[in-house]
Formats: sequence, structure tokens, C-alpha cells
Amino acid sequence: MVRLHLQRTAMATLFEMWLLGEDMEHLAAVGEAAWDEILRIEKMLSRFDPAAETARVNRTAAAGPVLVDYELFAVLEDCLFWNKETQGAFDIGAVAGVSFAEAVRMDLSSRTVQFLDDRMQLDFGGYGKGYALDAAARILNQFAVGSALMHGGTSSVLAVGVQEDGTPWPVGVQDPFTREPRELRQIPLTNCGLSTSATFAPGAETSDLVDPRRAGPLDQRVACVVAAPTALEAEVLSTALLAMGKPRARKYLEGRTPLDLFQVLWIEQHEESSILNEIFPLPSSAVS
Amino acid sequence: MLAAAGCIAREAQSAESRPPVRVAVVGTGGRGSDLIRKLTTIDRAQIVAVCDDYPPHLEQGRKYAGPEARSFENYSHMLSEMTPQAVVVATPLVQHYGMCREALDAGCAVFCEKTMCHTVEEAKTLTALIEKTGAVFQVGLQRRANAVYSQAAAMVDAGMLGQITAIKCQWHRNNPWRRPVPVGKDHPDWPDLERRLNWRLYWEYSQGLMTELASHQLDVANRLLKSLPRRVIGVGGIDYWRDGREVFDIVFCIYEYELPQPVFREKEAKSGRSDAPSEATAFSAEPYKVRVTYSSLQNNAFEGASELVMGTKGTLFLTQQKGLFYREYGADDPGWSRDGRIDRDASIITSGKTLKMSNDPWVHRGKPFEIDNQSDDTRDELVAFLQNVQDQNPETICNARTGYENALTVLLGNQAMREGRSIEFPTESS
Ligand SMILES: NC(=O)c1ccc[n+]([C@@H]2O[C@H](COP(=O)([O-])OP(=O)(O)OC[C@H]3O[C@@H](n4cnc5c(N)ncnc54)[C@H](O)[C@@H]3O)[C@@H](O)[C@H]2O)c1
Repeated sequence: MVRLHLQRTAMATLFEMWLLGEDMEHLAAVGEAAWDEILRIEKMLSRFDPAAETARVNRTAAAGPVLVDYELFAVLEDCLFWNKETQGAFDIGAVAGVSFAEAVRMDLSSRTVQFLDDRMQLDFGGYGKGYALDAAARILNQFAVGSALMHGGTSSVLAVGVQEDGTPWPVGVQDPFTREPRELRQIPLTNCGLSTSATFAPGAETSDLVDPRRAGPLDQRVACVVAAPTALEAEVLSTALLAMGKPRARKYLEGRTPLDLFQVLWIEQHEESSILNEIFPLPSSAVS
Repeated sequence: MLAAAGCIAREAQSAESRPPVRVAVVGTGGRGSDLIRKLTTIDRAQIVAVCDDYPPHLEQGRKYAGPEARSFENYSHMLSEMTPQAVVVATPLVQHYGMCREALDAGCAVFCEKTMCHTVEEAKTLTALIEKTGAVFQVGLQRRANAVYSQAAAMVDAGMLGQITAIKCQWHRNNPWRRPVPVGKDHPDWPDLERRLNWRLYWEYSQGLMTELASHQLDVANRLLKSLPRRVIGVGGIDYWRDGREVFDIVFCIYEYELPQPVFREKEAKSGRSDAPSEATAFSAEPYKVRVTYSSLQNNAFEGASELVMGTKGTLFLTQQKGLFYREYGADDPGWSRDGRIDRDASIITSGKTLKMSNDPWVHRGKPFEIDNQSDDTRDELVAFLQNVQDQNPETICNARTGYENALTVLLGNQAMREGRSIEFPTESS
């Protein structure tokens, strides 16, 4: 068995892939195809690349309805779904300081998008990496690569199958708030997405994440780790749960089954050191 | 920084009532799918059909084109069932000629992906046909719709680079350029599928790096120099990816251009003040030569796809996303010693302190003037094409003549490498 490692930059971060198989030439070709798929999605979802579809919508949709392609329209519908599902906590308008559900009019029959608030800017920062990893995994599947680990910027991870020795892919969760590396937990992953969101980068004074309800930066030093069936769900939920804060997040998770969501970990600061707790499934309710 | 606007303005003007152009797309692989997705965002396009003879790709094309488009596995069958106004050809190079002809014969406008044709003969015949009928035809060299390159052409024309002496074009990447095959090597279908999917690697369907990559950049050279080359030498080989491919995985060509036109020369600043606006003087003497180098590597991606245009007064570094203009420090340079001020009475301003420059070895480059692309050139080239279809205007942004000259340029480069000798370009155009 051979292992291919691929490392490239996209979406203003580093992506890596490890693919396992029998034939290096095949793995290299599949790796390139998966990589092309990630780049294709960046060209759809980036607000920074002027040639991207999202950048075009951001430039023009305040002036009137803009025709978008089928896939972007479906992505926007999905974002609206998640916005409702998370009671507003996941919001692709948050960075612009407006509520996506209120600031955007989407018309299915004409496949158009219009901004009703001229501050509105689509921002897929909490969506795109997961979406891209899931799409890359479909390429791997199409070309019969059954074992792989991929990540975008380390915060979004997707594991396919198992390693050479049959064990799941181990992912270490590091303390987000200390400068010297300290591993808080190791999570074995197989056929599963994982995403971490932290309110603060190590050593940062203010958060780069926005609380959509208060329209200001998040202020608690907390982080949320979500393992879910897809990288997209993990990413959307880790972003949303973090924005909700622990009490609301707990409430939101109540009554769910570990089938829709495998695991949610919460990291917070207690007397200057970070502690990690499982908030889903709750340790007491953990059957099997 | 300059934000160049390209074709956006033209699109905005025409919130119009003309019915959209009925477009069919043949070849729904990588590029065809991109074009389909762009077309679905353009008001003046309506995709009526997609066609591909490989079912998994056809399925992908249908998904992107939406439920209203019909789908066909056979191109001739599609054209017998319907007459689209325009056909977009995004199939392997070897198919371009036949498919373009069929569409033109059916009275359609054609957008043909680069490179126009697999052989010079084909490109010549197709061009003659198009010029005779006045059909609307465009080759998919999207830098023609890119504001960075329009700005570069304008700067060259305005004499900002002085006399161009050389252009260095490269498209370097670091990957095998190989597409995966959905079945294993031991499967009976593998050999056929491999050739079909990896058509770029075989001479029978492709002309390798020259047609697949160099065509974009040698079109930039022809455009900026407003001329075809006179001769080309080159070397190529398969030196890294020895995996059964036929086409070179590394190519180096040198093209020689002879430019008879007047050129811009700076006035010898013997008497005049060096900061007086320099007049570009028309200067015509012996034809002078410009050398254009082209290289493609597939195992080092430093500076990727880019062109470096070198003139006596300045240098342009061009990419699709961004262009940079660096001045050469020369006779009419306002000078570092003036700190940006123009003082009419003093040639040098001194104040007791040595002018501080960095010790950075690249300091001589100075601060570049930046040209930013603000748009998607592939979408813009389609918008421009569709407008010409609506206007029945054969003067597209990359017409058959340009496509022919581009094909000739890249194909003779291949010939030079394959035959190991210098190849002369035909002197009579076409
Ligand atoms: N302008 C650009 O930047 C750019 C980029 C990539 C490719 N291209 C050009 O686009 C063209 C296609 O390249 P690609 O990378 O998409 O290749 P591809 O192999 O991904 O797609 C070609 C498609 O044509 C189909 N096809 C082949 N023969 C056919 C036939 N007889 N009838 C119907 N369909 C047929 C194939 O099944 C395949 O789906 C080439 O000319 C290439 O140079 C241009």
C-alpha cells in the first residue's frame, strides 16, 4: 500500500490530503482531480477573488437581481436552511453586520439573488471549506480511493475509511488559547467530518468571529469541536454552536440522536487554563 | 493601483429586450462544464442542449445546464434535431475542426475553445471558410477579454515600455497533468478509457503543452507585438513524467519576430532636461528583432503562468489576476534624488543625509504600478461573444484570423522541437 501526501494553498489557507491506495500514479491523478474540485469551489464561493461567482454577486446584487448558476443558488438555499435550523446562529451575512435571511431576496423561478440591504456581502467563511472537502471526497469515491484524510486550514477535517493498519485517522485537538502546543484530546475519525471553531486565535485580543445577534465580535474565550457525518455539517454547526454560546448550544442539542451528529466538544477557560467537556452526547446519556 | 473594468460596462448597458441566444455546448468535460456554468449566469444566453459522448461527463453537463437543456450523446444527431444559434465547442483538440465545420455548415455561430485546430492546414481551411461566409466565430483565448492584458496592450502602444526587446512567457506547474481513470489498470476498459480521458497526453488527439498551455501566452506575444514570428527553434522532451505519455513534459521555444514598424525611442537627452516629458519619436530604420521565449515545466510551479515583457523603459509582469509595471531607471527618470518632487531650478536636491534605500537585493525593482483584474475573463469572453452573435458581428474579440495565427505559432513551435531544426513562418499571411 502506498500513501500520497498533497499540500496546496486555497481559500487563503493550507489544504492537505493523504490518500492511500495501491498505485501511486492513480493516486496522484485522483489527488489532482480532487484538488481541481477544491479550486473550482473556491472560484464559486470566494469573496476575495474578483473572478469568483460570489465576488460578482457581492459587487452587483445591491443594484438589482443577479442571475446565479444552479449550484450557487442551491448553496444559498442550503445556507438559508442552516440559518433557520440554527435559529439565526449560522449567518453568511454576519460578517457584513446584517442578517442574511432579511437582507437577501432569492427568487427560484428566475434563479436570481438580490441584496435588499446594501451592506450585505455573502461570506462563506464558515461554510466553504467543509463544502469543498465533501466535494473532494466525492471525487475520491468516484475513482475508488477508499482511504483518505483531508483538511482545510486544520479547522475543517474529513476522514474517509481507515489507515493502512486498519485504525481510524487520529486527529489531535489542541488547546486553542495557549501558545505552547498542548493536546487536549485525540479523536479517532473514520468516514466523518470534524470542525473546530475558536472565538480567538492564540494570543489575539479580539475575536474575528461575529455574534449575529449582537452584531459584535464574540467576547468569551471558547472553542467548539463538532464531529458530524459530513465536513459541511461539522463546519456549519461548530460555527453556529460557538455563536450560540454554551447554554443555548446545550439546549439546541437536547433531544438529538448521535446519528445526525456524532460528537460536540466544548473548550473554555477556567482559571487561566483550558478545559474540554463533551456536551454532546452528554457523558451520562452515552449508551454503548 | 488601477482597477480595470474590462467588459463589465458593456454588459450592464444592455438590459435589453432581445431574446437570449440559443446555445448548445459540445464537450462537457472540465472546460465545457466551466463554460456551461458561466453561460447559466448570463442573461443573454439560453442553453438549449448539451452534448458529450461520455455518459459520466454528459451527466455532469446536464446538472450544470439545468433541466431545460436537452442532452445528446451524438453531435451530428443533435445538429439534425435542432439548430442552435451558437455552438460552443469544448472537445479535445482533434475534434475542433470537424465540429466547427458542422456547426458552421448548419448556420450556427461558433465559440471554439483554444487551440483552434490540431493542424495548420485545418486552421487555414476553417479560417478561409469563416472569412468567406462572415460567420460569427470566436476562439476561447480568454486573456483577450481580460483587463490586465488590455491595459498592458495600451501601455505598450503608449510607449511606456519603450522598445520591447524580449518577452519571456512561461506556464510552469508541478503535477502529472494526468486525469484519473474510474476503473483499475487490470480492467479490460482501462486502455481505452485512459486514452479517452488523457487525450492531452497523446499526439493523435492533442499537440501537448504548446496547444494546451502555450497558446494562451503566445497569443499575448502576438497581440502585444502585433505580428507573427518569423522563425522558431526549440527543444522538448519527456524527462520527468515517463509514464507512457507521448507529448513532451517540458518544452522550451525561442521565437524570433522582426518588426518593421516605427518604434518608440527616447530622445537622446543631450540638451533637454531629463524630467521634461519625453516625446516618443517615430523612428524607422532596419527592422529590429524581438525574441520571445516560451517554456513549460511540469515539475516546478514557481511563478506559474506569467509573461514578462521587457522594454527599454520598463517591464511588465503579467498574470490573469494582476499585472505589475516596473520602470527601468533611465535617461528621463525623474530620479530618486528628488524624492518625488519636481523642482524646476535644481537638478539635485541635497540635504546632508544619504538617501536611504534598503539593502534588499531586489531594491532596484522599485515600487511597481499595479493593474488589478476585477472580473472573470472567461465569463466576459462569453458575454462578448454572445453580443456579437446578437449583432451578427463577425468582428469578435478573438476571430478566426487571430485563432489561425495563434495555432500557426504554437504548432510550428512543436514542429521545431519534434524535427530538431529552425522553422520559418510562412511570409504571406494565410
Ligand atoms: N481556455 C481555457 O482556459 C481552457 C482550459 C481547459 C481546457 N480548454 C480547452 O477545452 C477543450 C476541452 O478540454 P478539457 O480539459 O475540458 O477536456 P476534457 O477531456 O475534460 O473534456 C472534453 C470532453 O469532450 C468529450 N468528447 C470527446 N469526443 C467527443 C465527441 N466526439 N462528441 C461529444 N463529446 C466528445 C469528452 O467526452 C470530454 O467530456 C480543449 O480544447 C482544451 O484546450 C481551454
